[in-house]
Amino acid sequence: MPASVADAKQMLFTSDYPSDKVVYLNEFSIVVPVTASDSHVIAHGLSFTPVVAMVWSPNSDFSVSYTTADTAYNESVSGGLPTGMFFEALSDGTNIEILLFNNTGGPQTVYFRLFAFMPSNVNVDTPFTANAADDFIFNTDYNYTKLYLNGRADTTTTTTINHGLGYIPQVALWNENAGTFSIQFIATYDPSNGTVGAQITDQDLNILPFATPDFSHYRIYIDD
Amino acid sequence: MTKPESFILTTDYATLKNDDQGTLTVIVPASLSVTASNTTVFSSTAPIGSAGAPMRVSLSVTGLPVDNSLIADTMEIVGEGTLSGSPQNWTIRAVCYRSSATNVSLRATIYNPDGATLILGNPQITISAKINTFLPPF
Repeated sequence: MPASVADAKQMLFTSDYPSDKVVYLNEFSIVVPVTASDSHVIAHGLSFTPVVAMVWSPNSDFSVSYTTADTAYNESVSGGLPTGMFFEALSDGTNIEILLFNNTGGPQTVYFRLFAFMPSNVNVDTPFTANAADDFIFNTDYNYTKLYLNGRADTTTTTTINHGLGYIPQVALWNENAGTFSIQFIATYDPSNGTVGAQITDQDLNILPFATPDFSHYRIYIDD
Repeated sequence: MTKPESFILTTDYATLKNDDQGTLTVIVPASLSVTASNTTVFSSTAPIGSAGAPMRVSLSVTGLPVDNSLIADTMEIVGEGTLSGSPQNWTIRAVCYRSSATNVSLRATIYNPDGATLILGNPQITISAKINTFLPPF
């Protein structure tokens, strides 16, 4: 419940919802050879498997950028973006592995930004990612993301998580398959054979049965 | 106001800050045909968010039997049309990405790899992307 503000002379900070706590940050570039099978592996140094988000760009300033895997690396095959490249980040208990696909005909310098959260079923101490006391972190100029619900859902059956917010909130979703996590980036709508993915309505998140993942890790924000 | 000297509320972990939000829509017209070995593209672009800002996207489709909003920045919409008079599956692939420092784009493509015109036999399909961007925690 919101704190009482009956005595407004008392300065009080309160939040009914936690903000995101980023437990892993990494920014780097690599030269990606022409490949459809390579990967770039980084030890994350955490004691658990994090849920990882990634942005990649052909530019060091990220002026043009793509999220985890929002491009088909070969437009002539599947109809996607004509970047000729495709990257996907997987995580396990030790590493973050970036799957590399470069069909451009030559090596490409690609810039990556990775950030990760602790899954809802983990509760351990972990190294700080912003511990300089002089850094002003909470600043009223910014609207911080506010986590409303998070959890881990079995994806062998349809799972409905009622958020009841009355509007479509922000949602982030990761798949867990045999201990390896990857962000949910693609959904298929097939009226004949059913939808594959996760549906969001103004009341519920419906995680539909997937072909391979065992679980989904979801984060529902009160932010719309 | 970026750094008041005596304000000491801090956190030990980086966090995300909401940056901007917007909606992009593309319409795939009814009864679309895609000529042989060709890709038909529909796209929409608008200024949303800061340069390099990560995004969360949900994609919605209306016009088909069930309206859907799905958690993804890539959506495949699958249907059955005809090619040279025979049944032929088609796929509309919709992708959302940052196309410039200031703009975000939604791009829907239908690729026909075959040597004859693909007739989708589709109703009008509206694809919308709800986009939230964040100030990057770097």
